[in-house]
Amino acid sequence: MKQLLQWFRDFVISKNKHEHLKRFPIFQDLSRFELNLINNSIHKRSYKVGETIYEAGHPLELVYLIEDGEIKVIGSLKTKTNAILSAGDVIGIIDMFFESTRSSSAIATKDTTMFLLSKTDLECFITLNPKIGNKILKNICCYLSRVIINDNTQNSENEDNNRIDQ
Amino acid sequence: MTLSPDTLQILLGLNSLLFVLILIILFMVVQILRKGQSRITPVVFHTLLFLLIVAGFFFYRSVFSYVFVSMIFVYLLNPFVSWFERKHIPRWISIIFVYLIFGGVIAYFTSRYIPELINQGNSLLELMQEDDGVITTQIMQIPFIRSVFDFLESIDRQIPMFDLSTTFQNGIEQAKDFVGNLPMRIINNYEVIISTVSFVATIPLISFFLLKDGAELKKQIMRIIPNRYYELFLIILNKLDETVGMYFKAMFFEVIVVSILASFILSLLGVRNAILIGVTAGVANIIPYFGPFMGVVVALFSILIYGGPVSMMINVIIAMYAVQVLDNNIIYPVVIGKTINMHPLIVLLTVLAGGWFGGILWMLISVPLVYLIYSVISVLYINLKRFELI
Repeated sequence: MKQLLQWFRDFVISKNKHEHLKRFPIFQDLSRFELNLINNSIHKRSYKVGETIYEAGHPLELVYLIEDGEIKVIGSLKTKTNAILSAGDVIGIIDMFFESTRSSSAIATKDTTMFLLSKTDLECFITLNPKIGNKILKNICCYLSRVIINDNTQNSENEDNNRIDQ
Repeated sequence: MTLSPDTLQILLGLNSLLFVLILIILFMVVQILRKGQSRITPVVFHTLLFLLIVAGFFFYRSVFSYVFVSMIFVYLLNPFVSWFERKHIPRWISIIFVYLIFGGVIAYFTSRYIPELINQGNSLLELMQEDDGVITTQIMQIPFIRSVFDFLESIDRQIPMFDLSTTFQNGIEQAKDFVGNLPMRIINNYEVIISTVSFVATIPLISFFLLKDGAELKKQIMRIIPNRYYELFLIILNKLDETVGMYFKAMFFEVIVVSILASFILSLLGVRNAILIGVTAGVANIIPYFGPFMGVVVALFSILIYGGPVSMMINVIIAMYAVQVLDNNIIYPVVIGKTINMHPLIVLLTVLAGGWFGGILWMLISVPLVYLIYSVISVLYINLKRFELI
């Protein structure tokens, strides 16, 4: 009887197919149900070595979540993080809120698989699901503050060496 | 067994197609055997693939309309299903909920009002199709028209060469013929609608699967888009959904709301054929700026035909105005949020052109069609420019 119940539960509630999304900081504490909902607006794409992912000056619409592989970001970066990004990193989340054009270009340096999330879809999702949206926004804030703190420590190290930044 | 010429022709066509296919396959096999990898092989493969796709289109051609209508259905129902889904109800159960609710509402309204609507259409039709002399004299009995006619006759008496009264009479005759043919056309089409019950029955089934797995299906289809254009494609899709989708949803909603409100108010005022006029006013509302006037004109015309009092006409004008005020200031902003900005002159010209192009149906279709084409082109232009593709 218990087995039957378990089987029924497995049948009705689909298994957690989206566990892989949890590795990204912005989705880290979402439940299975919430991941299922956001998965509808996440697209999976793969890029070959040397393929351009986006170019500077083009409109900014997509946020890239790297699942596997490596990406090189060329051009001015808002933050002084490493220009080589790898699995688990997120691109475009900082520019998403105040820029409408790309300030840098990106090229795949290995075969890369990424999850793409549209800015419009994300905003729409947040307004439609205020509770989940709240979680996601909080996660984004955490992520950003961590980036800023890292950035500041790097800056202060730079200042010790040579005073370039003002 | 005898074959009709048509079947024979199709069979012959299929045979020749098969023959060509076999020839190509043989050719490919020979090529591969001879050289291992040759330059011709990819060409042959792609030709075969193309032929297969053409054959697929040929095979599935009869169901494209089904899928298309289902897609419109899905587009309209998806927000409701998603709403239930957000309340932690599994998607397939949400779809059944939405089906039950909408099915119930539609069934109630059709069983309640459609027979009435057909009755009203028929009575109007009978009135219009009565013996010509009788109906014209009947119209001439209406006080308002009588007075106009007398006035024109008095002018004629003073200035005989104009012959205004005869022209007036002819004009009324023509208008009557036009209005008389209108319900006739609707009823003829109604038979067509009934004959497509099978069509209607399969659509909820197709819609069910599209609603359930639509997002996944859409993603699968979008996989064929190259990486380079993917971002552009998503932007265009979102923008079109924002503008065009919103416009059509708003239109759909407005037609229903105005139809119901107008029918309700007109039947309260005691106008005959209230539901028919209300629905006409609702459908006419598709045309921005001018549609509402058409609804009023139809209502007034109906009162004139049945010889209603002038006070009722004034009441109807006020009531229809109230419906418009309610629609424009309360319903529309709350539900849709923003209006389309199309200049009245462009709307007028479009409606006129549509009327010349293909009659009343095109008058209704032309404005949404022009808006659709305009938005698609402008969205494409802006985004292709931003991506430096043009």
